[in-house]
Amino acid sequence: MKPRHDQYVYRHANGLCVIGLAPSHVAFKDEGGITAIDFNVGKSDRSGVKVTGKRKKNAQHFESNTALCKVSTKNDSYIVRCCVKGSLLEVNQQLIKQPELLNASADREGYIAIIMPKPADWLKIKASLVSFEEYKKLREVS
Amino acid sequence: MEQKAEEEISNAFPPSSFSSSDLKQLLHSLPSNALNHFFSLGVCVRCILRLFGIKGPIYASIDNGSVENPVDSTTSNETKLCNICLGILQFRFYDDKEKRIFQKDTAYDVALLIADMVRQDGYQFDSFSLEVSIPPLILQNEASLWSYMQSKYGSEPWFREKIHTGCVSIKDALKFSLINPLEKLLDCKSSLCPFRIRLTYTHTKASEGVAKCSDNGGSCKRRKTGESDSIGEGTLSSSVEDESFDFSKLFPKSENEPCNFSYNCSRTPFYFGGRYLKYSRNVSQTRWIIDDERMGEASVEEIIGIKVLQACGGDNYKFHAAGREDIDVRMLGPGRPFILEVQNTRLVPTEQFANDIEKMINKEENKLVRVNNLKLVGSDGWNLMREGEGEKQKQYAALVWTSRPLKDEDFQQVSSLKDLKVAQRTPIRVLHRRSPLEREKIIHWMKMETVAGSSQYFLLHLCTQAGTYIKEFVHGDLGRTHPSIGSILGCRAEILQLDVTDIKMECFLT
Repeated sequence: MKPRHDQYVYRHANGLCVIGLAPSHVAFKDEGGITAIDFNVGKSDRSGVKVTGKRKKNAQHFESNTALCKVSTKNDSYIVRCCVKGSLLEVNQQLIKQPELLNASADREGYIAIIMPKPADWLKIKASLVSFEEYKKLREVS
Repeated sequence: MEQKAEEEISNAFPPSSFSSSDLKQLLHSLPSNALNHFFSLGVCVRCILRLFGIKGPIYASIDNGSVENPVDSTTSNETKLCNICLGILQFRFYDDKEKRIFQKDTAYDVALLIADMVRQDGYQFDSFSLEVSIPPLILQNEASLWSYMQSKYGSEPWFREKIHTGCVSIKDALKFSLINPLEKLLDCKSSLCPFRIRLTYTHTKASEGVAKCSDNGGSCKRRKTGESDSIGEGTLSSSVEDESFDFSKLFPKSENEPCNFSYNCSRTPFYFGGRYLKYSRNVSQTRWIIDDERMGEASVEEIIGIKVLQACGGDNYKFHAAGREDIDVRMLGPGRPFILEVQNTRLVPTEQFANDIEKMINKEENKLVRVNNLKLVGSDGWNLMREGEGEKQKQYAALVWTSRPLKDEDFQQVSSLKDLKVAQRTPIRVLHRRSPLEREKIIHWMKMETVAGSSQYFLLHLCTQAGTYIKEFVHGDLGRTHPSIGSILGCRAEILQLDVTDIKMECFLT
């Protein structure tokens, strides 16, 4: 992960992980903030996959460093990665039409994707993630 | 057919004792050529009687020790294993528990064993229903023999008469044998009722028999569903008729062993219907265990089920409810309809019993759960509960926090929305176990009530279509439920507490 490309992983008690941009992500510092998002990165358009059924058929399996999407500002674009190895259940389609949600509330309506890791994969990646408390200290955010 | 046979047994003949001379007379009245032939083929006396369509308590009265061969009045066939019924009608069997072969002389002796078993388990009953299960191999023997009789004696006048009544099946003959003694020993009549005494005969050679004649296997199964058990002309499969068989070839005498016999009794399930209320925010609806730890302090199904189970001495219960609520959501108002299925009760529950259990559950000190209108229900209970489950409306009260103070206009705006359509994507909190879908639901009406001393907390009353996720409708689930209270009011909203206040269904209200 490139420096300052800060992302969050919100893990629900049921194991599902909501992935998004942390408030200190460098994209927010650009003038005008984020203006567009593109899920067509890597080998497929992440927004096109239809996951069905309880068994989550057709979900793509990604590594933690797989590209999830690309967010663009006026002058730049940044790759957003999965952070967690697992099945991609859904991406936030609303962002395509309303990319400003990322600027307004990246931690809620501006979430980027939902990933379902296997319990073993979660345990492996957990160590490399930073807790909210540690994050606040590192970024000197109150 | 089962009912008819049982009625015949109970009503037609008063139990009377037949003497061995009565039996001799009866045997002499039968066509002697056929009679002697069957005797020489190793057919037991009860099988012979049933082949000639004889019914009634004579089966129960015969003492195996005093049966004589009608031809030469010497040894009877009862010392050898019958080639047709393999000992079932001779009261010879292998008992798995005792691990030995039993040979009883009279039906009464067998009935004694059964009655002992019934009394051991402490069942309360005022009637019993006898069910018999016979290996397919023997049913095939029955069919083959009948077919043989047809081919050999088809032209004889006595056979022509018989063909209308057919012969008596082994199952019926066994029932004729056992029902009268059992009625005496258990002091009640047999009838179609929930208390079942099941006699199961199995045979190690059974699997071979089934492979031989699959057609016959099919027709045997059909007979189980209540059609005539007697073998008449219409029920034979064509494959058996076509075979030209040598009777003695089909039944090699030396290899025959008696059947395994096991018997038990049980009661068909009873169903209780009612409504439950849940006053606690720490009680789940059903038992909920993760990693050997229970979630919550109790469950509705256990609170109700265990009490009922203990009171009527059942083996287990199954709890079925019309929908469910989260562990932290109270169920108030008239309550949620449920049916509790109790299996194999030792006592017979009555309406009074249901009333007593209801009082007992409601008297509990901790007042976690309440039960209303508990009563016995029949099979119609299911239909009442399942009918329109998807269409029924539910009413809720939610304690909501908003990120900005609310004004009268906000209250009015919310109240003005009628039959609001809401699109809900599968909430993240259940997405791990449900299909990712978008479901359209309807919020029929809403009403907001202020909370004293606060402009950012209020009570939201709403009435929605069944299947609506209320919590997500309040907080919006990261925008995956829209519209939501938050989006309608243009601010952030969170739900703190939720109660179900009404379930608009018609069942179990009295």
